[in-house]
Amino acid sequence: MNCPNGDELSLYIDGDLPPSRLEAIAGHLPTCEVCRSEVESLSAVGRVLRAQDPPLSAFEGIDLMPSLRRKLYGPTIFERFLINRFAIAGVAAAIVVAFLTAFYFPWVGSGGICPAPKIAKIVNEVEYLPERAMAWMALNSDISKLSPGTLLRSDADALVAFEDGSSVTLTPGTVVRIGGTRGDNYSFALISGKIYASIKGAAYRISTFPQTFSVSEGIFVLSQGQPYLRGTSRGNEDFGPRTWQWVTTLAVQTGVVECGDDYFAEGSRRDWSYDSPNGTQAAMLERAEIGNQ
Amino acid sequence: MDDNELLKMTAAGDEAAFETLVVKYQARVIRFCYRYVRDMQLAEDIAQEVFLRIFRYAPQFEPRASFAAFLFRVATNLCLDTLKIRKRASRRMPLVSFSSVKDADGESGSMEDLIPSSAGRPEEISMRAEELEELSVALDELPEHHKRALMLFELERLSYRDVAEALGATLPEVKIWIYRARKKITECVEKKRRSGFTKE
Repeated sequence: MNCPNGDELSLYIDGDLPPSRLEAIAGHLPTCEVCRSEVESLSAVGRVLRAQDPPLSAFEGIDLMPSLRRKLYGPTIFERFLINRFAIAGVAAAIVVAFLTAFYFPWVGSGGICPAPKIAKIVNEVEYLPERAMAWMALNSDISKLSPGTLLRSDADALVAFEDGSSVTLTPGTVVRIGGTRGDNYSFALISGKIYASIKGAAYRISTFPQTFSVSEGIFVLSQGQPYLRGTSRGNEDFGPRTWQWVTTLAVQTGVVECGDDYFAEGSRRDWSYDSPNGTQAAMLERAEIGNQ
Repeated sequence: MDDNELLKMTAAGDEAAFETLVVKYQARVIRFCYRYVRDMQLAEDIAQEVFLRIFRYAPQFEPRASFAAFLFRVATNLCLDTLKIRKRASRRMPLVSFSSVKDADGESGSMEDLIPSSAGRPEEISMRAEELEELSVALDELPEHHKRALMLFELERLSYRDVAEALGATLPEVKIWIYRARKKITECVEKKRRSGFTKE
């Protein structure tokens, strides 16, 4: 047999020849030093290359899947959550809201915003103050433009009148602390340690109110001079549910009032005579006021 | 389940199948890329891109050859692109060297440390440590496509057919390239050896 070509020997090393040719070369090699040397040299190349190649074990500790997943599918929900600061802020806010809902604003429920009010830790043994409960505060100032917490020194024209006919005259120098205001619908003020409501603030003068309103009870609350108010009114046609919700919220923030449920169901304008036809509520509120002072 | 089947499932959106392929080949692909770029982090990045492309192009895969051929074709192209981008002429990059390499734990070490002590059989291998550098030089002198073919065949143990597929060449071309690469290397080493004897 003639010596095979070098490329054929290369294929012989790799076993990439027909069986008959492989056999022929295998039979030739023991008899040919040149071909045997060629085969040894050619086959040594691969062995040496592999011998000095980094072992696969040096690369086996690397896992590409986590980063591939991120690139292919985007971050996981948890990762997205972690990297999204807004999400974190949102969740934090949700937790706060949930906490407040559960422990601080228990009246917020499926039935509506504000249920029937109750007074915490108040027993019904205080003086019944029926008509006195509603007060109008009259000031010459435009209360709707005053910020909550403003101290307003009244003049002789500032009067507070009660529906039962009694009234409080704010003598010059009486300091009035303005509570919350909301447009010209109502406002609150602290007078002599008590907070009063001024409803329909467009009519600050006492004389204008009785003609336009038939509010029979209401007033409120009372916590260390803070502008929190709880009001009730039978004639609430002029107040949308939102108005009352807000007012109620303020009241409850004092911690004085607890709420039940289903008072303003679905934003209705249920009459606040709901649980106060006998004035109990007003009396209780008054008691709460006393207790907080 | 063979690789081509897994690739089909990957093309159908099967994440588990894709992960199976990645887990099976990732170390090999990283090592393959490392041989080109000699930078562990870069090799990882390229390997990651290789698998991303495999995932994206899986629906277009035509199983003329093995999945490995497809995989290393993508890997080869990306490595070469990377080298071009980095303006590193691949011929100036030794195919093999004793430069330090980071192992899987990020620890640096000599390439020699990574070579198993049992690797190779000294009595059968006429070229050893002092000649390995000559081997690198010899490799550098090879035409690029010869070197690529040799790498895929000898180091990745791809078949001739898969090497041809991976390099976009014909089967006869690949066979002759590999032969010539082997021949060139042995000639270089033999030449060096003879010159060494002469000096002595």
